[in-house]
Amino acid sequence: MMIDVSMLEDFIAEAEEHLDEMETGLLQLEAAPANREVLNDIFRCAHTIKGSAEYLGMERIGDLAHKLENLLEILRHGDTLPDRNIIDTLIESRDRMAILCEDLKHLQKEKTGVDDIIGRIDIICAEFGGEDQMDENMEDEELLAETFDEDDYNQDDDFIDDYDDESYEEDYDDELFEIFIQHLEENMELLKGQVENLQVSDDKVSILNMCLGYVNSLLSSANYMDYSKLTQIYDSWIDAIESAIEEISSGQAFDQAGFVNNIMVPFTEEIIQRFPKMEKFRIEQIKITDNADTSTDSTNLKVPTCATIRTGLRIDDPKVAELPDDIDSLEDMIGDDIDQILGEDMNFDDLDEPESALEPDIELEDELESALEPDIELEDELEPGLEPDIELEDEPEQKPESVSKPDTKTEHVSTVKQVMEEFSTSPSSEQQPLSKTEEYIPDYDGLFDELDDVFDSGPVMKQSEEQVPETFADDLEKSLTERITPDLKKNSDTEKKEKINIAAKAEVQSEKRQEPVIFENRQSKGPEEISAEEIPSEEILPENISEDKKDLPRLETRQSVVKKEKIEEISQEYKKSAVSPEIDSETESLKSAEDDLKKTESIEPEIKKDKPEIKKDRPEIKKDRPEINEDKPEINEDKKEYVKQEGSSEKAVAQSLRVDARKIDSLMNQVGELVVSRAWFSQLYSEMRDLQRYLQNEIGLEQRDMKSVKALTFRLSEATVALARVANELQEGVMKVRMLPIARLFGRYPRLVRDLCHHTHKMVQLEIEGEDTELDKMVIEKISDPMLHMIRNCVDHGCESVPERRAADKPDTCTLRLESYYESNHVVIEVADDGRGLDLEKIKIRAAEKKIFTKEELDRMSERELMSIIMKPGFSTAESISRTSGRGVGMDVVKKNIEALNGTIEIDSKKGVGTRFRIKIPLTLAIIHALLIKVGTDIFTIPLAAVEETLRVYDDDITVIEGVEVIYLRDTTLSLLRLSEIFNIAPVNPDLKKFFVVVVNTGMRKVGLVVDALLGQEETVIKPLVDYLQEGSGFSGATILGDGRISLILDVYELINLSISRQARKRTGLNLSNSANFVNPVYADRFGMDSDKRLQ
Amino acid sequence: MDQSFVSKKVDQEADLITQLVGFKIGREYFGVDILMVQEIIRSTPITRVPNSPEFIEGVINLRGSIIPVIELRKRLNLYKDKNKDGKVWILIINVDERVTGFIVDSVTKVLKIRTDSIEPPPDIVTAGLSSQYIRGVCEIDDGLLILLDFARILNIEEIKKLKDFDRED
Repeated sequence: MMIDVSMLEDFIAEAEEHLDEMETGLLQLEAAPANREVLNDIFRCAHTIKGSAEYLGMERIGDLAHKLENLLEILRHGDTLPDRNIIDTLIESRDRMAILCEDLKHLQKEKTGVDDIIGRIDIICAEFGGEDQMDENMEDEELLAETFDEDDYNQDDDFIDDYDDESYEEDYDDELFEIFIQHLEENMELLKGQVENLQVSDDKVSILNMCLGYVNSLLSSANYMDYSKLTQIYDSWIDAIESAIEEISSGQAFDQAGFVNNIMVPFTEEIIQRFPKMEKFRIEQIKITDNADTSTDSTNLKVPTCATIRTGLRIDDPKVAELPDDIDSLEDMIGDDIDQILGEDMNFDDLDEPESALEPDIELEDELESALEPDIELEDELEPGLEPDIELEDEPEQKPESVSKPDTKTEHVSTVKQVMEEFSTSPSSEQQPLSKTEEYIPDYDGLFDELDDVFDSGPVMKQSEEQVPETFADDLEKSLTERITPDLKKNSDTEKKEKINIAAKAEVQSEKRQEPVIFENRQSKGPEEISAEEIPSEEILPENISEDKKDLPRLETRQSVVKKEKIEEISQEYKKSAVSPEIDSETESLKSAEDDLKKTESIEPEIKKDKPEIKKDRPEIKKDRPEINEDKPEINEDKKEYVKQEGSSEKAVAQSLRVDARKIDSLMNQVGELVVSRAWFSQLYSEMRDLQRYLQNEIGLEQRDMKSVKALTFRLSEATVALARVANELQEGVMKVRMLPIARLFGRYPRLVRDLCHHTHKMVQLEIEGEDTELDKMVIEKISDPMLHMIRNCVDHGCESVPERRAADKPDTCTLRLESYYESNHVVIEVADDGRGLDLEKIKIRAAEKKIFTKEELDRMSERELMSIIMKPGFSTAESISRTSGRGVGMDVVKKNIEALNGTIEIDSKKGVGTRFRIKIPLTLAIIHALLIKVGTDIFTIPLAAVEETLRVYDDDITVIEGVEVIYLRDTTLSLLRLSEIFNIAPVNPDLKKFFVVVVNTGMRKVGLVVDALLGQEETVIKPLVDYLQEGSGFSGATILGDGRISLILDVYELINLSISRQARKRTGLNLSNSANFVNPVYADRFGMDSDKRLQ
Repeated sequence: MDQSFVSKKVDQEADLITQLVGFKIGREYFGVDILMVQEIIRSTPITRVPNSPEFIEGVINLRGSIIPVIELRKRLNLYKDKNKDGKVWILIINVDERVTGFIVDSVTKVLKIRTDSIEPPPDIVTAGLSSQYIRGVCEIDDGLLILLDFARILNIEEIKKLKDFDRED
């Protein structure tokens, strides 16, 4: 199977994360075998891995994860607590998966076998009475149940939402489902994009083919998930697209709008209904404006309306069942208002208005767009546009009333039917130019059927219908006005506004739904709308309907009159009467939205945000959402964006982004360059100042002329400061991007300690503190191995065995403590144990045995020096080479690695009490604070981390002992290294009586470097040198100074070694090889070794 | 079929001609494959690196990258006489992803040379240059052109050895 590399990478990254999580979980489980929560976590990880592995066809990982899952399932459901064997097996399985991931990383395929471990798992599973088998069956059952659910949908679409989310995510496989959803999202987005392209591009066929491709890929994912109903939908979708393609290729005129509206939109709707999350990928109906000639035709509007009705009806069905309970309460609310409303005068002239208004809505877009910005203007231009929208809403309100008048259910139905019949005939009789209308006619029919069903659906209906008019009218009005008025104000863009209006309305509707009463209205709304649009004249309308219509204008005017002040009031009311908290929150948001009227942008997300909330709590509402956009095609891109953002921010507050580390590295490099430029500017400024001084003093410019020079200098300094500030911030920012919590590092060690304990039969408890300390990613990577060594050492050498501890009056369990914290620009990591501590005598003996030092040397050493011997290469106090340590490599590597990071390591230990290693490393590697010094004409850089202090020393202060220059510094001797000698640089002023000494500390050793001048501190970017220049040269890299010159960065540790070996050679030449007693151990050591080498 | 044939022929023809950058050290003509030459710069400040082999002149800042510069004359143990005007050219050569500068006295035009006219290095020392650094020689109008083997010149092990040698002095 060919796997997309990027997908594979993602898979590996994800799997590794889950494996890490699993490891942590397993270790916790081992500590607390009864912890169900942990078990569930582990299970989830295994499950996730399995899901994505199977999705990508990683058989071995998939199989193993599956088996693991079975085992975990037994643990989860059974009463068995995981014993050591099981935990070991689990951990080994995890490791095997990790190995497989490694395989994938390097070979792009699974190489390592899994059969052995699967066998083990099977055995364990079998031990628990074939529960494995049972488990498998269970899963099958789940699957079956699923398919069954699917079938259910076919019969009854109304429950789709609930089922989709609930059953798939919980009962089955949330990970697979998530992948599926992701895939779905991607493709839906692409589809939407293509539909948008369709409207601009000429190459329809290729776009359609792309669409076809996407749908095909959706089909395959649905197949994979076994969603038969979905598959059917996709199949028919594919058919539809294919036939469209054929049409085009056969030379027929391509009805683009028709295609979008009749194929893309409905199918997308289907998907959205099932997966409300796909809301944002809704494809808009193409407005008829696209086809100028048809735009005048008001019938076009029917299309969305029909769709609205359709969706509305579906949702309502389940609602009907719920109604009875609520009806009683609603009845109270109806009151006399019904009669009042019914008694309203009819005004047919008003009826025409909505119609005409509909046209402008469509046609006048351009005008509206420009006109909308100021509120006042909106009134004129927008009202026509808005009214129709309102109208659509209002009409339905009345409709039920009229229907309810006859008072018997059958009468309602027949009335509605009558109207519907008229509708269904009218479009064709009117002979719309739009082919679309005709295509929608079948929808009407279906609609009518559905309506019938609804009307038949219960005794409740009658009552609720009666209640409807009042409550509905009021509520709707309130909410509409709330919605619309703010929207008007807020939207500078007509299109947006329209959409929002509609959206708002839809929301209102959905809110209403929460009150059972309303649903009747909605059902009747559909036909009403149509009738209003299609049948302008009274004759066509049946009496009762036309009568109702008279109310419409009234409502409409009421609504359009409502102004800001009223909204406030109404929203208050509304809030009070609100049935559910969701509505409350919505009103709130609306109100707050009102506050910043002009901020269209901000309000949009708010409104959008509310929707998902409601959606969540009330699945039925989701159904409504399709309408929102169906009514008015184009939702702006940015709006979608908002939806996305809002949606995601709700899901997870902490968002993370996976970015290629190389990108960040290159960004870091750029920032490095910027830092260099910053230094350059500082340099320019100081040069400018010098020039100014020169002009003033040497040239003797007039004060007047000097003024401009001074001004320029000043501005240059300002600019430099500004640049420096930005550069600093940017640098910090980028640095932060690279920072990772040290938990990443510490997280690896519990497992290590556990394994070590098992091998050594010691009891060790690992304590971790300061996991949140953040550290450059690169530092974390480089410090990882040294840490590993140290922890091994601690467990292996530091911690005593249980009997030993008992004998020493210590608790059985040894405590190993990892701690990390900040210390100025550094991070300190401490590894401490309460074990036996370093045995200095033993170290001495060993060191002498291994001829690392002579006995005399050892006798002279301080405790600290003795301790540092353990960091010598080849040194080990272990009697025998054990599995974990004893080979004498380890601490020297640790030391080297840490020093490579410009870090230092200190050891603190007391025999019988414990040992503590203290590692101090800089926060980042790429940029270091450094001291610039001058030797001769060359400028060198010393990392500030190594610099302890700087001194000014006079010639007389220096004492020469055995050829080595030393000074006395606070009662200790400090040997001096003359950089000019080491580097063979001729000093500029050889007879100078005083010079500067930079005291550097490498952790174990303090040395004074004699330099000619101190130039100052700077932040420098480390650039590597070619290996042959860097190795053993005493330089760790180079940096580019502000003026473009290169300055070499001193590697203090190397440098000291270098000079030691030089002195050693010198001394060998002088035959003084045994007289270097005064020098510290490293000197002596180096000396000894080097002289040996030379003698050979 | 036809296509592949055609392209093959073109390849063959391209194979026949090698383009070389010619340069001079002292009186000798040298050449290096033009594909290896990243760029040619005039003298730029060179920062000396202490404790490096003698033939390493130092490092230069090439647009933010730090690049070592080798004095080819010293590396190859050529005539010790320095050129008079002190002006040098630096050939920036990319050998196995190692970008290195080489100081030469002057750079001549690009030479087109038939591959088959290149002869293996003679056993005897050419122009005081041991044959191990020579990829081949070739007769041109002005005399003998020596094609240098830069991979060999940049042999890291050798440089390190030389460096150790230097230091032990």
